Amino acid sequence: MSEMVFTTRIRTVVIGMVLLTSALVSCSNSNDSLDGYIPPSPKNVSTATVHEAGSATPMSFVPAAGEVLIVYFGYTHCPDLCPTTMVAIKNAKKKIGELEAKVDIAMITVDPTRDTDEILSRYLASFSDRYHALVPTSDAELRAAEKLFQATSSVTNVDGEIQVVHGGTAYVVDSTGNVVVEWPFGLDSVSMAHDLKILLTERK
Amino acid sequence: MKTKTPRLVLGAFLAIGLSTLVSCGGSDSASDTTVAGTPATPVITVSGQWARTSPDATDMGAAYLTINSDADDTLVSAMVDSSVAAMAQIHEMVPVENGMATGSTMAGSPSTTMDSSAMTMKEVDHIDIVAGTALELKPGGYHVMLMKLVKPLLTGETFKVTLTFTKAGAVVVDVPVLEDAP
Ligand SMILES: [Cu+2]
Repeated sequence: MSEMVFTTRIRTVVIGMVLLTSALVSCSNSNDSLDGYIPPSPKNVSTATVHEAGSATPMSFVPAAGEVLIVYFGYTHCPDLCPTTMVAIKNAKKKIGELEAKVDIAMITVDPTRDTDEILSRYLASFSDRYHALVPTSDAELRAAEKLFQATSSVTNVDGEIQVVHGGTAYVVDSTGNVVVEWPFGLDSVSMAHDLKILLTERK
Repeated sequence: MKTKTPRLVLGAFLAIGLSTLVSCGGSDSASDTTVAGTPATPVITVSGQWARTSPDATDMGAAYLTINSDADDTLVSAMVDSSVAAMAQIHEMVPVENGMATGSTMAGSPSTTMDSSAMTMKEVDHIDIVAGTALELKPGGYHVMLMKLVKPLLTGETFKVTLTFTKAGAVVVDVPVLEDAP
């Protein structure tokens, strides 16, 4: 009996917290609302450490003040989701004029066996002048980064064919190291540009 | 509400897809490929076809198109010339529970975090075409997978894709290479 009361109390607290969080989100959105998805609870990714191609040190997931970092988990043998999203990001950057210089892009390959530093770098150069090609050097490095973003992936061999599972989400990180907005697969470049403008002007 | 759920985005995506179909529906469109059939054979119309420009360092590609038919039929294969790619297959993006695919894991342990957006692509051996209902092959859904491209697909080029239907037979489509959906 006392357990039930306890559970109910927790539930009330949780509901209260959810209401409070949504109230906070509404306040910070007073100017304009973002088209992407706002994580219900803050995701700080500043402790992510993934090896960067051509660099001995892991890259920082905290962009400079007034800038944003777009993080995508993908792989170059991906013909559908990955290039669709990368082209949308490229087109979104074209739509925001000079603000484009404040947008950094990092792609973490979920298929580090096939995606070498060189392959991933060449791939990303097709979409942006400014990019970070991130090839995890161990499984633990990839899983730790995924955990922070709440992303998921797997590479499996199904009857000799390599099958890759990954999320289609692009994560936008601000200079506090928080994921401020998530772009689900299919969000177009107009919406992405809309969000970037808000993040780089009204909320910088 | 200040946040949009992925479902809303998907809805918008579908709406955009529908409006594209409406604008592509005219029979005067030069890119439409219509195969005239006898009364017994369905008349298949393919429109909006395109393939994505190859990013550097890749040898996989995807082609997209919309199929309309005046009678029920079944798409059973897609083929390209061996001068384009070693093989073409019809693929579908499918959601995956908990990021796990079946099979033996190659690269360590799969992550166990929740990610409702996790997807993978699977080969499909046929797609049913319903009379009067457009079937779209589009990013995030179905695509014609081009495996082991002989050379990168360059913007502005065109290549042929042969679609084979159970009743209508072979339909050849000229597919332009574009950076983004038309
Ligand atoms: Cu495919």
